[in-house]
This record gives sequence, structure tokens and C-alpha cells, in this order.
Amino acid sequence: MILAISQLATAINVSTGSNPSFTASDLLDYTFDTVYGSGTSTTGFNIDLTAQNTTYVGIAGHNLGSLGCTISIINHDTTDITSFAPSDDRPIMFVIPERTGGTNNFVRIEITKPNSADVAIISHVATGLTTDFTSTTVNGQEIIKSYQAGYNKVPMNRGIKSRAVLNESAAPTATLIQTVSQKLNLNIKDVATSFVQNELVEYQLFWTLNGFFMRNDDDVTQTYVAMQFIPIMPKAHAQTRNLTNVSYNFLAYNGL
Amino acid sequence: MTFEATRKQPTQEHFYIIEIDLPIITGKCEETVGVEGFGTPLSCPIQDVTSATVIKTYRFCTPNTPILPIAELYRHVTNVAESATELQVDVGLAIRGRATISFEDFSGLDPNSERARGVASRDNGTFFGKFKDRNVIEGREVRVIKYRKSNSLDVNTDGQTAYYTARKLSTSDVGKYRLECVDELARIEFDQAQIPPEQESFLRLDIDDSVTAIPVDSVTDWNQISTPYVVRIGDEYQTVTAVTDNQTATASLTVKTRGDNVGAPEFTNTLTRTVADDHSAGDDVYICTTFDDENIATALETLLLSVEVPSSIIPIADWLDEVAEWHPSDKVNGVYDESVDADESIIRILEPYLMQMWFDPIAREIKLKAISQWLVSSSTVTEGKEIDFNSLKIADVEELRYSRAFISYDKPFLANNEDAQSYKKTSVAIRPELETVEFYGTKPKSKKFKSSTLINKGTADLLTSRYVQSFGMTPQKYSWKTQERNLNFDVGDVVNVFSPRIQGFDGLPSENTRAQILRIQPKFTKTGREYDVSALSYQPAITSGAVFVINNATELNLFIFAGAPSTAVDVTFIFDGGIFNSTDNNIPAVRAGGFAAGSTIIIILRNAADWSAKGGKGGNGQALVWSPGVDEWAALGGLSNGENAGIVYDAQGIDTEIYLSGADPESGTAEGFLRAPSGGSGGFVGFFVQGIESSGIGGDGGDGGDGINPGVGGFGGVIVGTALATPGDAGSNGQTDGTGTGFGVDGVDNDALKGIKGDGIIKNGANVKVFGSTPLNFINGGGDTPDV
Repeated sequence: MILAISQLATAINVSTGSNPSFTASDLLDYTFDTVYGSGTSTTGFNIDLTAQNTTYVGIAGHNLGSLGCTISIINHDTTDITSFAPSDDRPIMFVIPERTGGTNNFVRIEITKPNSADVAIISHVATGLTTDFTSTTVNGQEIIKSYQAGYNKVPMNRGIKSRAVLNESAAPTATLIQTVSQKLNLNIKDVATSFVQNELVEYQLFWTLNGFFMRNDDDVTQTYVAMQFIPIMPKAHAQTRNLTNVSYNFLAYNGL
Repeated sequence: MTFEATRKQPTQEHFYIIEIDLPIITGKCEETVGVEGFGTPLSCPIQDVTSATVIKTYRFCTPNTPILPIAELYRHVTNVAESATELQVDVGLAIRGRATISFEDFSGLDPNSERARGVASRDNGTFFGKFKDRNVIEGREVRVIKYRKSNSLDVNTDGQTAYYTARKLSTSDVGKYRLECVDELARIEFDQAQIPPEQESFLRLDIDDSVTAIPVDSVTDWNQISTPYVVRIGDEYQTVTAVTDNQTATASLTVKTRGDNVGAPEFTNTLTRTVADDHSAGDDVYICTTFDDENIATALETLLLSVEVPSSIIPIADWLDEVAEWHPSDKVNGVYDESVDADESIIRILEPYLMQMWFDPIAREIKLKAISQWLVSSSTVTEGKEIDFNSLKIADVEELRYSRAFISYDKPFLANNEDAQSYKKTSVAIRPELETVEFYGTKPKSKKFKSSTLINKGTADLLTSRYVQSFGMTPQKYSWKTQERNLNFDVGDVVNVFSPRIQGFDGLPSENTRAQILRIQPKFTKTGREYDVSALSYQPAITSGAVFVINNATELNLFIFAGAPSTAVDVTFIFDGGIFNSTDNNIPAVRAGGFAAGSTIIIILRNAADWSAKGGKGGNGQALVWSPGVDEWAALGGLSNGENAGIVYDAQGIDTEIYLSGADPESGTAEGFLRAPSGGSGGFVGFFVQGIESSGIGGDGGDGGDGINPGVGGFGGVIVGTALATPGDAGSNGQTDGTGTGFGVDGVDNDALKGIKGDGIIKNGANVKVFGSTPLNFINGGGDTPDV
């Protein structure tokens, strides 16, 4: 479980494939009220984020999978960090090595469209730091995050309401569906109490004020954007005060 | 894929986009000197030559809207409640449609991010708080666009747009905003607009009741409509034929002789009679709107345009087509002589012509449709398909059932009050078969329409006839739910309703339940749109075999009585007793009327139904005058010919079968009379011996012809100048039972000529057959020989 804990981009620029009908800074808004649509004269669509020491890049509210685009994350030294060709439009959270030193003030999202005429749309991009509720040692015993149990698989599920209209034979004559956000309860057990006290409470402020990226596993596509974050008061650990079980409720957007 | 292309998708996901156009200022915009405004007119009191107004379209959508290439699309619409227009059969003008869009407020964005000050204010306050404060929302165009999700959605072309006008944006609760809209017909709603528009126009000087140069104020544009036109001063109407010195201190109207009718030669029809009167300086001079043989459609258009309804939403060609089909010969004649609320002005035409008007927010047009039992269904709605299973509700609408209907018309003096005495004529239509113990009892249930100054006999008869023919039986209101994929009908459509719950006598679903769609109300539920539909049934006329029952009538037009069907029909009329006559020798007692070519009529006379017509009046006898000074007699004049008798039935080219006795096609027994009236006899000359005062005898009047409305005998010639001579005798009145001159004979040539016998049947190119005729029940006079 990896959660974004900050959005550190201080500026944004579309360096290739820009479109004057859109405003690049709107991409930094976590809401999907504003979007950016690429220009249609080139297949390239590059978004440059000004940020230092970041460990993730997130993209949400897009049609890159539908278009068949390829995404590369480019370091400030123009080297490829990672690439990915999404097959659908779920949010994407690239976890990248922390970039330190030098002129690490720059990360590029380089998108290659199959056709220059395609309009690649993105609602939100972010880059910043993450937490993975990292392994900790309590009473000499290492609690390894890999041993933590799995979580609800929001990215694997469509949030849909459905209602069928039936005829006299109980056969469907029409079906109405509505895409809705999924409500998620996240329980993380055995988190170091000091971590909860000193860091998680700070992160909670960011999570409350922003939509933020979360990723379940090591799969880049197992990502969703969380919002309407509600922290639940931690309950006492049954065995030790050094560990705390935390619980959060939120809505999740998974792009499906 | 277009909205229609995705309509039949079995599984659908719906969403809305709401668009609002608002003006923003480009270039210089300062709230105070040196302080940039937010780009809206309210926040830009300081502008310069670089400033320009452009339109910015704000877009809002429901949260399930897919990611679209729209830079700003605010996903905060929580509900769209459209209160759709609803037709009103008895009034004509529909309830106007409304829409209420609910929003959830949010922060972190600014409505005017195109301005640096807007960007700087993005974290201040809330979006809708700023949006409301910076803009005047009222009166703005609002587009409510329905979408269905599809794999190839084009947001610019694949929605279905309904057009509204914003009324107000208000907070409904903490963090909630609500935008209330009305449809574009609400521009004439209704305490806010009057037809004709009120003007402050007045007399400049006192005038007496004879002056024809009317001194009027210098401000009003007296040439705003072309002459001739009509003005009203107090109770007096004047026909303006010229304007002099318009908009000057000596402005003057030239009017016709005071007290003359408002009519020929300036107008085709006499629009009103009037009485000349004195008036004082300062009295209102009201410029009237007049209709003189005006088409119904163009009359309505004129009224709507006068309250600035845009012509783009008046599909006048469609209106003219509708009027041509259902009111081919009806015209509007009258004077709008005071400013009244706009809806009242419109209803004044819609109601007596039995037409409906509503606004279609999707077509963005004002619709006009006639009500008639002859409207044919455009589709069938079936429970389990167009009607959601088990959603159909049925309610009797007893308040619309009437076995008879009437309306008063022909108001000679428009200045008179609205009392019944002010109107000269009344049209009544009755369904006698419904006023029996077998149906609704013998007590009539009568619909009174508001008296009309705009209509004539034909229109009045058509109104009352169409109403009782459509709603003589208790109408039913059907309500049901329809899914968007099955919404293949529209407001105003006539449909057949097929459901196991609407049963025929045999318990099987009725095959002939016809209803007009009154309302289609979109309802945005948690899983998408569905539609609440309501429809009103009426008793449909069938194009083959419709039967009408009639008791009494004068100068009956069968086409009008049948509700003026627009296509060829085969209809039967049963004349169930009673008298059918005419009061004018030139108008038949019964005529086929304007049935479409190819129609056939069956006429059955039962229970001694008696058809005849106006008998000819006898000619007057010659009058004499005695001149005492010279002791001479002379003829004074007055001698006249007998009048011709009238026509009983004019087929007007429509094939007709008439049953007078024996078994009839409706399984009854015919029994009736069709007898031509007789002509009047000529008058006689007077007699005298010249120079002898007592010898004078006025000429006798000729005898009137027999007929159901017999001709009266001619007047005897009068004697003038002496009491010693003898006036002539009046001729004998004709008899209703043929015991006078007998039916169907010419008058007698006396000193003046006879009137010609009437015609039993005039074919005018039709094939007319008479069944069961005998010398007693069928006297054809000078009529055409029947084909049987």
C-alpha cells in the first residue's frame, strides 16, 4: 500500500503538444472540473512538472489507455525513469526512485499518441512523496510491510448502480446504470505508534484537503484517486502500545 | 453516436451537461481605479476602448460524466428536475415548462480564471458564491443537455438539448445552490407582458362627437402601424385613415365619419359598431390591434411578436399547415381594444378555435396543434414496452365530460359589457344519445365556453361540435413510466394505448383507445433518466363508420358537425326526430360541407325527422297615393315578386345516401320527411277610378310558400293621402304542414312574378340516392333527380 502524501509540483508547462484552449495549471487541480487536452499537430504531448525530490508521478482522469498512448517518465537529466502503455483509463501512479542532488528540479511526463490528431485528455497530474507504512521494528521484532494483509481491491472493481426494468414475464426490457464512486474502508494494522503520532497525522491533513493517489501493490495500474478522506479514531492495539491499528474511510475513483 | 443512434441501447447510462452563456469583458476591466476586476460586467465598472464584451459558456455536469475535452466542466450538478410543459385541453395554452438544476458548491476554483484577479481569488470563498455575486443570471439562456454514454461520444453533437431561460440562482441550503429556469414561452408569463403593449397616448384637445380631425399627443408614433387602423377613445371606436403632423405639436388623426361602423370599405368585415361621443383633452387614445379575415396562425404570431417572443421559435410554416388542415375556412376577425395579460390574449384565440399551444424546449419551437376527434394516432404505446409494466394508472376525468357545449358570439358593439345580452348568437352542440337514462341520465351536462368576439357561426359550430364529439364520454387520464430507450413519442402526439388494463367489452385489451400525450416529464433518478408520461383519452372518430346523432338544427353543415375531418371519411348521420330548416332562402337547411373528395355520407331520418327549408315570401301588393289638391290617384310602388324558396339538402359534390323510410343501415327504421318548400306568389296591383277618392284599393299581397319555415304573405298595398280608400289585403302565410300552397310548388304569377319552388336535393356533381321515398315523404320540388 503506497499513498501519496504530498503534491510538490510548483509549476507546470506543456512543452510539446500544447493547446491554447486549455490551461496547463489546471492539471494541478486534483478535481476533474478542469482538464487539459493536447494539441493535434504532433504525436508528442509532454508535461513538465517543476519539483524536487519526488518519488511518485500520478496521472488521473485521462483517456490515454483508450487512445493507445505510451507514457514515459523522464528525469531532469532527460533519462528515462520508466515507461508504460496503459490498456485502459485507470489512474496511473509511477513510483520512482527519489531524485536527489544536482538539478533535480524537473520531471517530465512524456506521452506519445498513436496519431497526432488524437486529443489526449488529462484531468490531474501530481508528483511528490509517498508513504508505504514502511517496515518498522517493535520490541526487537521487525514488522515487514510485505507481511501486511491485502486490501480491498478497488482498482479491480467497477462502481456501478444498476436497475433493470422488467416486463410481465420478469424479463428485462431496459437496464439503467450509473457510475458512482466506491466507498472504501482501509484498515492497516500494526503501524508503529510513533509513525502514527509524528507523521500520519500530518499526512492526514494533505489527504483531507486533496485528492491523492493510492496504489495497492507493485502494479502501476493498481491505482486509484482517493477523496472525501475521513480518518477513524485509532483503536488500542490488543498487545502493545507501540503499535496502532489505523482505519480510514474515503471514496475512490478508479477510472473504470 | 448521436442521441437517436444510442436511443435503443438496452443498457444505458445517462448524464447531463448544463450550459449557461454569460457575458465577460476582455481588455481593460477595473473594479476601482488601478484594481483589476473579475471580468464580468458587474465587476468591471471601469472600461476603455480596449474593453469588449464576449460570451463565456459555463458548463456544469453530473458526476458520472466521462472525461471530456472541455477545459472547464464543473462536476457539481446534483440533480436536474425538469417540470415539463403540460397541455391543457380546456384552455389551449399549456402550463409552461420549468427546470430546476441543483448544484453542490465547492472551493478551490474561480469562475473567472481567465483574469489574473480570478486566479488570485481561487482559494477565496466558494465557486458558486463568487459566480452568483459577479453575474446577473436572470434572463440568460440555459441549455440542459441530455447524454447517453457511448464508446464514441461527441459532446458537441450527441446530446439532446432543451432550452430554458434562467430565472434565478439561489442558495437552497448550506453549500447548495439551485438554478431555476423557465421555458421560452414563459416570456409571456404573464403579469409581466400585455398584449397589445400599453402606451401613453391621448387626446390633445377636447373634441365633440362629429369632428373627424382628432388632435393627438406629439409623442406617440401614430404611424407605428399603417392606416387604416382603429383607435378607441372611451367607448367609441374610430377608423383612422390618415395621420397628419405625426409626432409634432399639431399631430392629428383623420378618421371616418364618427359613429360609422368599423368595417367596409377599410375592412372586409364589420369589426364593431360604435356610437359617436364627446371626449376631453387627456383621454386615452388606444391604438387597437385588428384582425380582419386573419389566418389563425398569423394572428397568434402577431400577438407573440408584439411581446418580443423571437420569431425564431415560431415555426409559422408548420402553424399554417396545421390551420390549413383543421381550420381551412376559419378566420379571426376582431379588435384587441385594451391591454390585457398576454396569456389571456393568446387564450382568447386558442380556446374558441380549440387549439393547443406549448413550447417544445428540445425543438426550441412553440407548437400549435388543433384538437379534433379526427386526429389519427401516430403510434401505439404498449404496456411492457413503451409503458413500463405495471406502471399504468387510469383515472376518470369527469370534469371534462360534457354532453353539450355552447358558446356565444357575434357582439355588434365591442364597447358593451360581457353580459349575455351583448352577444347576438349562440352555437350549441348536443349529443342527445348521451342524455338518456341508458347513458348519463337525462340531465344535460353543459360546457360553456367563454363568449368570443372573434369567431363566426362556422367556427362556433366547429368548436362546440368538436368538443362534445371528443369528450361526450368521460375521458380518462393515463399515467405511466417510460424508459428513455422506448420514448418514441412526443408531447401533443395522438397514440393508441394498448394495455391489458384497458379492456373492451369482451375483457380483451381495447384496440381503439386513443389518447393525446399531455406531458412527458423527465425524472433523473439514482440510476438515470426515466419519464413520467400522462395522456388524455378522447372518443375518437373512426374514418369509416362513424355515426353522429342530431336532434334539431338550422342551416346545418354536416362537415362542421362531424368535427371537420381532414381526410376522406365515411360517416353516418342519424336525424332522430326534430326539425331541420333554414332561415335564409340562399342557405340550405342541411349541406354536406367541406368533406374531402372521396367521402361518403349516409343520412337516416328517424322518428318523423322533418327536413324542409325556408318557403318563399309572398310579393307585396301595390301601394296607392291620393293627391288631394289635384284629386288624382297614382301608384306609389311597393309591388314585388314572390321570393324563391330555399334548398333542403345540398350534397356539395359528396356522395350521399338518404333513408326516408324502411330498414336503415344502422339497424333501425327510417321515418322522416324531405320536402322542398314552395315559392311565394307575386303581389297584385292596386285599383282605382281616376278622380274618385273612395275608389282606391291597394294591391293584395301574394301568398307565402309552404315550408318548414314558411314564407309569410306579402303585405297589402297601403293607401296614402286619404282614409276613404281601401288598403290591399295581405297574402296568406305559408303553412308548415303543406296545407297552404303545398310543398315543392312554384308560387303564382299574379301582377308580379312568382317565386320559384325550392329544391329538395341539389347534387352539385354528387351521386345522391334516396331510399324509402314516397310521394308523401319526399317532395323534391325543383331539385336534382336522385340517382335511385
